[in-house]
Amino acid sequence: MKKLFLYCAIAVSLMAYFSLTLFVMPPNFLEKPKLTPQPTLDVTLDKSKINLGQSFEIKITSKNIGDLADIQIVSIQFPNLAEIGNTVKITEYDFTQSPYYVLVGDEVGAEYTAGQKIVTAKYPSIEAFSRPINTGDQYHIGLQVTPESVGEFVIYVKSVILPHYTDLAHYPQSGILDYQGEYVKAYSVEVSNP
Amino acid sequence: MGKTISFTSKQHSWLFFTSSILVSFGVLIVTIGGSWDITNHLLNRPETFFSPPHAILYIGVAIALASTVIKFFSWKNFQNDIKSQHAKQVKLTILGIAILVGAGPFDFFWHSNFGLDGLLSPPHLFLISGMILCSTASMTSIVRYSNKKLISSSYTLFHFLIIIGLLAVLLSTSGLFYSFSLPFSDTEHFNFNPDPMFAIAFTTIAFPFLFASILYLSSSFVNGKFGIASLVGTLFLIINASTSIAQNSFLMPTLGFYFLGVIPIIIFDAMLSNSKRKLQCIAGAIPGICFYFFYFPLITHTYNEVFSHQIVWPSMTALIYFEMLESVFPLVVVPAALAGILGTIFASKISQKLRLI
Repeated sequence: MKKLFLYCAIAVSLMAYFSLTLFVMPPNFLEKPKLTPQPTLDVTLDKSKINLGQSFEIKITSKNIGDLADIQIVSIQFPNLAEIGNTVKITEYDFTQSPYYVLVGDEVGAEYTAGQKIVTAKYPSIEAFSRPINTGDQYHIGLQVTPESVGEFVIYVKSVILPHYTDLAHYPQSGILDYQGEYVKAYSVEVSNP
Repeated sequence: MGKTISFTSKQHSWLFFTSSILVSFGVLIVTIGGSWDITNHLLNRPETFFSPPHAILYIGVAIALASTVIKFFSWKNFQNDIKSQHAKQVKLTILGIAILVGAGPFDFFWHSNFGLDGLLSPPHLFLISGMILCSTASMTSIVRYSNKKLISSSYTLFHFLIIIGLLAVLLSTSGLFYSFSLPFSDTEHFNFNPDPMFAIAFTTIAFPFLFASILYLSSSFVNGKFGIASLVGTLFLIINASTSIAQNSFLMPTLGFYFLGVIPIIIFDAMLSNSKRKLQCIAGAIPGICFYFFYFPLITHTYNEVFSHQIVWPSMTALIYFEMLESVFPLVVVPAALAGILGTIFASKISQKLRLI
């Protein structure tokens, strides 16, 4: 009798367990709304005109004003350069991961697919990134740039949060498209002969 | 004048038992550090060798090393007949600790030369092999030492101490199985990732086999006394939840789901303590089937390689896991149940062998 009761209890408990884990609880996790992280960038250049041989500074503050996310990348691109060399130096950096230098010819992800679509880098860039990224997290990167030729020195800046579910997960959301098929904001400094 | 400390044979015996427990405890700490390290790599890509999980891991190695030294010297002072009874375990523990300690500088050399290594790499394989040797040898020493006390009708301290030995074996062997199944070993210089089909076949067989056999041993070593297998299984869930789930804020809502796993563990324990051997072995199907829940969240990465093909971001892990549940579970239920049954049959033979000596 005792055994019969035990086996009945076991059968009921097992049924309850598998009902909960296979049918009752999974929909709660599947029906959850997807997170909507949202990056913003604050970019400041200390000069708009310089003479050749002089330097200017660019300071970038990135922030996530949406939900928490896995990775936030800030990409600073130099379409005038073939290589970064001594032209660009990092002066300030507090992202959680070390900066990554993208060289011309490197394979990089495109169209916000986190590497599922790949293109070849057409100009160099510096990628600063943090992971994970909570709501309200702010990170900074500062660069000192010393152009080596006269003319307009152009810098493209963008931020992407991964995984990328909606258009809110990148900044800017419109404007110029870079070679990765992703929106960038352009900044420039006029470099003249002294 | 220095004073020589001398121990009675009873004290040597206690030292031997305590040091065996501590070797297992050291390995347990290593496995906790290792599991945390995997999660750390998934969440924020640590860039140096000197990370908190590595510190925990090497504290565990230090505990295991110091305890092995004590174990060796206490064993040396045993009378010849007892000495020969434990000789094999002591030798295996020394071999295990030598491999474990050697894995440290090897790992540092690997990091220095090839950058971050994946889960499966020669130094990591060394580390895990050392852990398995140490934990298995120590568990055997513990069981042999406390055999008579374990079969007593009431609970004693030995019943609870044996849990440390069993957990160390369960977690270190799980670590080895993870190495051969998780796709975390593709690095800049080497790609040691397992073939995805092999990985899912291996996972479906190996984890149920292991979990069922360790739970069976937990019950069998204490003569079928209810409670110890439940504690071993529950502590496994707690450790896995602390190192793999709670570290990832995206997975915190799944804790309730995960801890429901206590139910089949208690059921299995109750069946082991209330039924005959044949039925006990068949009952191994229960922990076997539930492996897909017990080894959440890491096995998501293994099955994703075949069933989902998505990037398993930390924020996406739960979603992908539950999306795959309805396609994976019906496929693995039969082989996992059979592996669980085989695990209990295997464990019953091991248990008989250990307790006969």
